[in-house]
This record gives sequence, structure tokens and C-alpha cells, in this order.
Amino acid sequence: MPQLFGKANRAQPTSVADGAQVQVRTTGYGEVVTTQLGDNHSALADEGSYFKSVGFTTNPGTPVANAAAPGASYVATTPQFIMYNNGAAGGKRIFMDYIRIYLSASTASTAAAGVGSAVIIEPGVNRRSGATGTEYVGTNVNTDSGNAPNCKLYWSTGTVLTATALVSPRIVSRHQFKTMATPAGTAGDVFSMDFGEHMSGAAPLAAGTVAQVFPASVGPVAVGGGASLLFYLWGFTAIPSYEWEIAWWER
Amino acid sequence: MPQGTNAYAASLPSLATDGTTIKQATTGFGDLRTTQLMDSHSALVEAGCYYRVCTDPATTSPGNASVALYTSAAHAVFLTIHNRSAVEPKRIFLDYIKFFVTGGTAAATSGGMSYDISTYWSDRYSSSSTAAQVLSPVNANTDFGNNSAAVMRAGTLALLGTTGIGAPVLARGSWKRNAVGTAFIGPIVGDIYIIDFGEHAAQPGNMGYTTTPAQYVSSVSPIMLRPQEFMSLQYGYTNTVTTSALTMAVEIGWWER
Repeated sequence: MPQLFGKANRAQPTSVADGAQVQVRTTGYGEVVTTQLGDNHSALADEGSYFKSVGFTTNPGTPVANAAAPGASYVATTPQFIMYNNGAAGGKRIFMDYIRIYLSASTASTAAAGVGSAVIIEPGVNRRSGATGTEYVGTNVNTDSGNAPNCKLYWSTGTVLTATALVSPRIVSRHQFKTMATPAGTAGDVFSMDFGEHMSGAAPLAAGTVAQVFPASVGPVAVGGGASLLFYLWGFTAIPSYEWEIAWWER
Repeated sequence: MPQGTNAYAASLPSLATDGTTIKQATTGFGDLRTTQLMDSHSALVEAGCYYRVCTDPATTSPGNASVALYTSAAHAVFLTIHNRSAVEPKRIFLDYIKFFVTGGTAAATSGGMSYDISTYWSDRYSSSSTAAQVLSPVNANTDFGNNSAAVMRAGTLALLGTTGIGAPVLARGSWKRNAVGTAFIGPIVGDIYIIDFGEHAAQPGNMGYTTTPAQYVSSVSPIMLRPQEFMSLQYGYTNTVTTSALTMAVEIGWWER
């Protein structure tokens, strides 16, 4: 049976010159010692599987107006956006990296209960109802890669994005970005949701009218071929305007 | 004896074209050089073994009818997790627990809000009040169904047996404290209490003598539940008892292997 034999070195061994052949180093327990080059996500960009959607009207700094006020509470049929994996079942999956919404409107919305959010995934269905909302196309962050995303992204801009009735929803995130009566959203507020490895930070959730970054750490999410991810944001009783940045990879 | 011999390069070697067979890169010490694709937790969701529970935003959050004085003998149980796996040796590895307050009142005395997590080698769940809920796990990967071994409950819960030496306490922390010479501000609607498990990484933060909602985070070492093992999370106030109901939405992430 072919096996990989290493050389046990608990202590740092002598370094050899470039081009020399060495045996793989292991611990005394037989574990291979590794040195990781670069961060995890840059390697995804390198192989051409990492995508982004950056939302604005004509240029960065020109916000997009929501089609309507999201309302004061959660409503299952009116998500803020839907991501649909247009690939075949059993094919590439969408792995969420982060969602960032930048409230750039000078006219803040008001609400009594703050800004809540939820993320729901559902297998085997595109939950976009008809041609509601507006479709946005993701871009590959690697200029050398011609890979196009399987992801279809629909936002509640232009017309109100509506979802058909959820049948087998899986709620994978339930969060409160901010709890403040007035204003619920200050111009410059950033609502940021990180997926993957959970790493929260202590933070205030309301502080007068000063704009802040409101982070949420969420565990990993995978959206298979033919499945949908629905992102909900509520707490605005007036129409918010914003820019966004969403990132994901497909493998 | 076949062995791996590896090309070492301190600097970036020449890029081989796709499909070429090449030797594994190492450092001069023989450490394998690797390129990791995606973060460690996304790899778990890819394998279909990462789960979540979230309380439905359309329904009332689980609650405690009253919150006891936090002492070594008595405090309010708010969360229980049982690994019901018996034959298949799946272990539950906690990733994070997040509560956020959806209803409650402030406790205006000195003191603080403490929690602990204890484990046991069998299911200690006894009963629950009407304000408690059974939480339904979902697989965070739409290509996999729910085959979680976890049974989770949140709210006012009663346990079988005794606490103390028979139920080892594996974590003990504080979410909120009063400032010296000032009143303790209890849970506020919108407060978020988080426990991150795994690699310990404490961060500075306000401990809560504020009347505005905030996010309070505790970092805790790994906690693992073997088949049939059980854990409970208790909390209470260190200097007061309140009979006011406290309701909290719940989000929990974990993996099973």
C-alpha cells in the first residue's frame, strides 16, 4: 500500500536551500506540518470562483432607492433580495461570504422597533414571484477568469420584489442590526453580515444620530443548484436608499 | 519504501500549466505549503454537517417567566441541548449561541447578569413551561436534509437530577455588569448576548451600564457533546430576582461529526 512518509520534527529542523529536495515534515504524531500561503478567500479569487455584486445607480455614491418601505416587521413574501442558484441540482453551490448595505440616503427612515433581519434558504425552487424586483448580475473579481456566476440576484428596486409562498423554509439567521426608535437608519449607517466562521465583536446597537457600522456574524450557508436564499430587512417605515456589496463563491 | 520528496522554493516557483504533474511544495524545513480554499466552517457546510436553529421572526420568542438570583445552587435554565445520537457516534461541536432580547424589563440594583454552561452524560430535560419552545434544526446546506442528532429547547425549562459535581460547569461568564457606584441596567429590548465557542478570542467591550441596546460577546473554549450527552445554559442576576418575563430570540450554530 503506497503511503506518504514524512520526517518527524517537533523542533524546527535545519532549512535547506531553494530547489533542494526535502522530506515532508510531520509532528511526532504523524500529522503533516503545513504553511498556508495567503488567506482562504484570495485563493478562491485566484481560481476564478469568487463573485461580487456592488449596487448603485450610476456611480459609487449614488444610492439606489428601494421600491417601497420594507415595513415595521418581518413579512415572508417581501424579502429585500433573493439569490437564486441557476445551476443544475447537484452542481455548483453558492457559499455566502458577506452582505454589506450602506445607507447613503440623507433622509433617514423611522421606525419604532429598530432594524431587524433574517436569512432563509429553501431547496429546489426559485422564490422570485414573476418578474418582480430588478435583476443584477454578479461579476468575477478575477480579471483573468471568464467564469460567469450561476447566481441570479434580485433586489427590491424598481418594483417591489415578492416571493412566492415558502414551503420548506430554513431560517439560518435571525438578527437585530440596530434598536432605536428614531432614526432607525442614519445616513452613513452600514449593516454588515459576515458568513462562515463565526466571530462576533462587542458593539453598541444605537447611539443617537451618529452613523455606525453594525456587524452581524452568521455561520456558513450553502445554496445548492436550483435553491434560493432570501434576505429580509425590516424596521423602515419610509423608503430607504442605499448602496450594497454582496460577495460569494461558487464551487 | 516510497517517500515524498518535494521541491522546495522560498520564492514563488514557476507556474505549471493546468494538468501538469508536479511535486508538492514545501518550505526549507519540510513543511507542506498549502493553499486553503474557503474558511473552515464553510467547508463544514459543504460537507453537509453544519446546522442552525433560529426562532421564527413571525412568532413570539421563547421566554423565562421569572429570572432567579444567580447563585451556585439556583439560576434559570434557558437552553438545553441533547445529543440523541445513540448508534451513530456523531458528536456535536458548538459554534455559537446568540440570544437577543425581544421583551423584558430592567433590573435596577447593583450587580450583573451571569451565565454558565454545564454538561451531563445523559438527557436531563424534565419539563418546560408554555413559554418554552422546541427548536427545530435545519441543515445550512440546501443540498442536504436535516439529519441532526440535536434536540434543543429554549425558555423556562426544568432539569432532572442535581447540579454541582455531577454536572460539570464548562463555561462561566458575564454578559452585563453595573459600573461602580451606579445601578445595574438589566436586559433591554434589542440587547444581543453571544457566546462564541472554539478558539478563544476575547475582545474589549462595554459591559453594559448603558440604557441603549448593545451586543455582548463571550469567547469560550470548545464544548463537545458525545452521543447521549446533554448541556444546559443557565443565567441569572447576581444581586436581584425579577419576576418579570424575559423573552429572547435564539440563533445557534453547530456541526456534527
